[in-house]
Amino acid sequence: MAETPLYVGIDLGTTNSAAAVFDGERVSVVRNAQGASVTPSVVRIDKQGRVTVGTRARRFLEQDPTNTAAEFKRLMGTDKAIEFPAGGVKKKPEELSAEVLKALRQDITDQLGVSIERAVISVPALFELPQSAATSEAARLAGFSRVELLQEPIASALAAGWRADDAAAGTWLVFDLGGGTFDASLLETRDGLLRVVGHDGDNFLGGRDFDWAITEHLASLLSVVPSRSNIHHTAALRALRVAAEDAKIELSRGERAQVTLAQPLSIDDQDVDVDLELTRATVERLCAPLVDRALDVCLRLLASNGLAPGRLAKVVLVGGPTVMPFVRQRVAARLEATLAEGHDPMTLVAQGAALYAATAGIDGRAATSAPTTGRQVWLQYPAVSADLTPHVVGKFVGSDAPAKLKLVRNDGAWSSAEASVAPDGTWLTSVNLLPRRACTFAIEATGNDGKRVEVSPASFTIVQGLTIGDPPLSRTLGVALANGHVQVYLERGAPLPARRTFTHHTVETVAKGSKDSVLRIPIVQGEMSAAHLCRLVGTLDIGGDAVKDTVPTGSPVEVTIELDRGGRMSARALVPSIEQVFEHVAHLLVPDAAPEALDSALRDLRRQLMELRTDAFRHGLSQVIEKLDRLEARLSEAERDIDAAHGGDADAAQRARRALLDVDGTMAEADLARKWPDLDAAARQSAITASSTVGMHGTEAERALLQEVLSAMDKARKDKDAPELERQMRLATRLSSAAFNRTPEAWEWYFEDAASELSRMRDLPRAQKLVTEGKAAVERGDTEELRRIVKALWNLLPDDSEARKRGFDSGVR
Amino acid sequence: MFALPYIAFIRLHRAALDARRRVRTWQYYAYSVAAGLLAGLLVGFALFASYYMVLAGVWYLAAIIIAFFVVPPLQPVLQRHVLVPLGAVRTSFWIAHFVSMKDSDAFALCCAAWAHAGKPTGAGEAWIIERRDKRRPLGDAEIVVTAFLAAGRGDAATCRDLLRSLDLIVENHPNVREVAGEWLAVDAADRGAWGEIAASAAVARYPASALTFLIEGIAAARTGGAGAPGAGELRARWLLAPHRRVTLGLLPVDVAAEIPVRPAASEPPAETPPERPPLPRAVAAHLHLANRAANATGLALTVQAWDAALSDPATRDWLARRALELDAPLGAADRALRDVASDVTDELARLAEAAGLGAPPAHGLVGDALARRLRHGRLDALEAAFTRWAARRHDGAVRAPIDEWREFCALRTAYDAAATAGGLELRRLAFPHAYSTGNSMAVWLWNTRSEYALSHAISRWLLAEALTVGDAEAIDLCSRNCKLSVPTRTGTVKG
Amino acid sequence: MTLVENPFFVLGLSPDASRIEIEREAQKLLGMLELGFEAALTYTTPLGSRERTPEAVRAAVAALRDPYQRLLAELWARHAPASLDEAPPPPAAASSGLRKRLGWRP
Repeated sequence: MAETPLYVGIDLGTTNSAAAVFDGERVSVVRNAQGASVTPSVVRIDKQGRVTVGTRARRFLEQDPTNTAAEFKRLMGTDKAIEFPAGGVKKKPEELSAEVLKALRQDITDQLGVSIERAVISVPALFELPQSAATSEAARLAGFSRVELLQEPIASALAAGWRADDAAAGTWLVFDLGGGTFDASLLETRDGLLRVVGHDGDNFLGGRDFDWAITEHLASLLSVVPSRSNIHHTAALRALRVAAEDAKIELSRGERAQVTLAQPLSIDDQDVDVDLELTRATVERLCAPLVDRALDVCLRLLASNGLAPGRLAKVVLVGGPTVMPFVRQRVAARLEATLAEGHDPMTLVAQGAALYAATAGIDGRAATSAPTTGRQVWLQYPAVSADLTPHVVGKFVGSDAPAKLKLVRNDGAWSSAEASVAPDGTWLTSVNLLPRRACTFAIEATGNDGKRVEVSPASFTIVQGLTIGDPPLSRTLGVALANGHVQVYLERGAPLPARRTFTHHTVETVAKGSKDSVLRIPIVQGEMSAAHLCRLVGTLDIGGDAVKDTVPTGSPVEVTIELDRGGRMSARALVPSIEQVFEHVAHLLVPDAAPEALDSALRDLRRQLMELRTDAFRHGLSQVIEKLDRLEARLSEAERDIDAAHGGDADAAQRARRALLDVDGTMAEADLARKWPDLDAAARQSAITASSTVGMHGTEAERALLQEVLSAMDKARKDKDAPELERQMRLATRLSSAAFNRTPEAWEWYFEDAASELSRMRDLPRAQKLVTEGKAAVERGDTEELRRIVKALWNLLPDDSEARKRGFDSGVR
Repeated sequence: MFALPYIAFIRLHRAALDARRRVRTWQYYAYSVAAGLLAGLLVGFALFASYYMVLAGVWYLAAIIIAFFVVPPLQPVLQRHVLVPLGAVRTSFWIAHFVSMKDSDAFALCCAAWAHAGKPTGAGEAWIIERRDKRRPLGDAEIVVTAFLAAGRGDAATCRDLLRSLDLIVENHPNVREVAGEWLAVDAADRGAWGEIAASAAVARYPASALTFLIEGIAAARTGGAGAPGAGELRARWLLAPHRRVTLGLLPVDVAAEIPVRPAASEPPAETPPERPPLPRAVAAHLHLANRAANATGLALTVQAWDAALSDPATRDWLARRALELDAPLGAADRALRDVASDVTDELARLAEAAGLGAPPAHGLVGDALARRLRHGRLDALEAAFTRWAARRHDGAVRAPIDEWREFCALRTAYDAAATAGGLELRRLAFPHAYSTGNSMAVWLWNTRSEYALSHAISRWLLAEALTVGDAEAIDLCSRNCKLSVPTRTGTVKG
Repeated sequence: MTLVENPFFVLGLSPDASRIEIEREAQKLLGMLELGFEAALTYTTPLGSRERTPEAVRAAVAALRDPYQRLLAELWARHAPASLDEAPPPPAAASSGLRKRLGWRP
């Protein structure tokens, strides 16, 4: 019999990481060299270039912060390199994560004596593709030959559900407040199957924000207040933060804590002594808004799945901050549910990942080419099965397969009926499992002569227990179209691996041989239907220098997007007219959020918000006003983050970017509703103008046509069909202007109008010259000349390029 | 001294062929016979003379005589039966120079591309493209050459589109257009589109080669159009045309018997028994529609069936009951109705787009949404495409003239497809934007790029569209633009 | 399209199948596909047979686990006719080869 398999799960966390193994019967947490079950995700590189990971590195966080890195997980997927001045090296976030993974891998080897090559690594549920891909890359750098990624909440639920003997049927909520991210997941177990009903979360909310809230409070009590936007105050704030963290832990047990620093802080060249008192009530007051923000996410998640808070069977708490008693109370109260007890919130995720490795059949040990004796058979069976009678499918390799075969359970209490082997060596049968046990089955094959035939492998093991399907995609993936919308390829929740193909049409010509003629196919991730509100994760370019022949506008392009379980995406575009395939995807990293750009985005949103608010007041829309107030609060939060970003906090910058994007999305919806009255009024006005002008100067045909247009406008107004109304309005305007142009004063009027746009013209000197000429022409009464000048002026007006940006400059529709 | 009769004969031969390109009546046969006789005389003399020269030992003189006397009259035969099968691109190019005078490069390049299409090679293509791109501004020959290059890659659709686009180009090399016309005629015959050939012949769209003339005769006989040639006349055309062994099979044995039976009008798909409840009926109608090329009746019936099914209380009841049994979230039934309507709309819109159908006049969850989708989808796509096209004036991305032309053709095709599906009303809505962008492009191409024929073609198209939708202002401006004289390599064309 | 990719057709199950039947069938089909069983390579729909891929099976079983998705799938599968009583679509007008015989490519 083969050795028992070893399934490995790793929780690669923001602040702490952990590893667990599952042998088919029991899950155990791997302890590190210090005997702890969690390893801080901290890496230090010293002068000699020596790398230290974990608790030993964490000690240096305070003494030597410049050469010690923590929380690099938040920067995964960005190209931000972290510098270690003493060692003179720069490391990418995935390289640092790889160091942590290496350490964990070593711990497993030390504890179990086997070398591990395959594992399941957990990632936050809302990780986007670049972040997932970076995690896979980290695992590769750490020496893993194959990894699969699993969302953390699924891992926690799997671990919590595996233990629950009452097979707690019903809906669960996993409340996972980690160091840097918050995930809320709704899961359902039924018939031994675990299903993700939905998840939501905040990629930038975690225990760290608690620390910052406390730190800022402490800072405000000092005689000289350090500011996060001042880069010279960073060291002082960091020291304060470490103290705040310790105080927070102390307050989990006691009522009050003393924050004292051994050395005075140096702020603006002044020595500031720190000796402050912190009470539990204060911490709770400071952290309550953050917990509420997480709870809002939970309630939103429940509501979107049609569930009232009281309907939850259980809430599983995961992550360091959930140890705080006040957090537990608040969660239980607001969600009106009981908390699942008896789990270690720090290692639950790693345990779940190990369990998942079993479901997916990912044996952690390196494949050993064991000497094979007997006929070789390929087997397909579920390593873990909720079903008590799963199928087993097999195929004998080579010709001359045995005639019949039987499966015998190792307790001897059950054996399958004799299955006959097809001439091509294939066979199919089912087995009988014992509930919540690992069962090993021996394969007994007999040849045509009725004699026993040795087969390899001779047996296999199936564990009965809670299973989960394929890991779901965490964020919808699609292609941005030229009109700014998104064509969804893979919906959030789609099982991985997945592949999908759609046919698009080009909207511009790719000229053969022309370098600057490039057709872009932007691949975006996110739940919004407007492309600019989603994240651009990669582009597929069809360049003029690569095509065999010119691809004219309107040519079909078949785009296929493929995703594997490690979060790696590949895409391919086939252009049938030239029979060419384009495969090179330019993968994009999380865009660097420059504080200046954020400033201007914030200003923009503020202005829009103001307009919306004025409007809402005018129309007395109290619900809208309420919504806008919430947006306002988020903007204020974003503003603080942007301040911190100016002080060099890349993490805060990312968070602000995300918040601004969210606000933008909510506002876009509100904006659409707001614009309608204006459009409606404009349409009425244009109808009146057109009626009078066409009535006076129009031809018979034009009058008839206008009647048609006016009735179409009425219909569009009734249907609230904005684009239709705009188009019909344009038509009415054209009819009206054709009639108007027949009057002698028409061109004078156009000239005045064009001249008033002078400042926007592309070629100002030329425009100014034209205006001077035009004035002369008006005086002379030279209509022909005036007409020429007006047209030339119109040509100098800029085209609207805004629309293109909204669709990431997509070249397909 | 000797040159005079030679030049006269050669000129006469060429004149006969040129004259033939302008007619499709009995004169066609007369000019063909005349050209044939002249060719025979030239070839006969040359063979006779060169025989004696070889005997006299001056073989090089014999070669010169052959080159000057035999090659020009026999160029069509050589090209078709020797150079094309060999794929002799350069030889075709040089030999073609013997048979045309004015702008002989045009026909020569066309012959080279023809030979390339016969046996395509990368080197040949590059050689032709290099020569083609040196020719500015764009004219009909460049378009034909590009079309044949596409044909060489096996892309018949592109070739067809490009050749058809010659209609709008004023530059006119009759010999080039003759070859283009032949390709289109052969292509249509290949697809069995005889009606298309008859229609093109009726307006004499292209000069007719002997093969085109024959195919047109066969098409007229098959479609039973007015002025179809009799059996005897068809025989005569068959005799004049090349590939007689192949074309013999195409000749109708009995003209009357060959009139095709029109395919029976396809039955509407929803001939389902009336007792079927609305939901299964809608699903069945949907399947039928997806199973065959969608037609307008089928689409209308499917939309009606869905609207009926989704507003049927029984459907909602079934959904509500089943949702409860499955323990689906609250509100699943209503959400399902909405989602099914939107899925169905998506799919019907896709089918309608592919088949170029307009929205049927139906009202309901699906009917209204489909009407909106098709209308806005088409108009949005058109506007985006035209905007991008016109925006290129400013971004400095200068394309080769042929690419400008292909882009315009593609836009025109998209516009026509949308207008055909949506009717005059949609055409009116689409025109203003197409006009404003198209007109700025036409002006830019004329003034900045000196692409006169191209610019003129755009203006002509815009004028025709303006007339259709009755836009007085656009008619006025486009007709003034179209009146400008267009300089081409075959002479200035008066607007 | 909605119907040919219907999870019930992909898995070859009736709309009445229970959750565990669906899981069991999917697991069997994935195993068979992995080992290249002939019988698992295609599935039947009212519009003819289609190629069955592991991705399609995974997507089908994931859809049927979700009660709402299953409701939608049932709406189609339960009300679809068993087969269409008409011939499959005629093949697209193919070239008759005449062009080539008349000396023109392609």
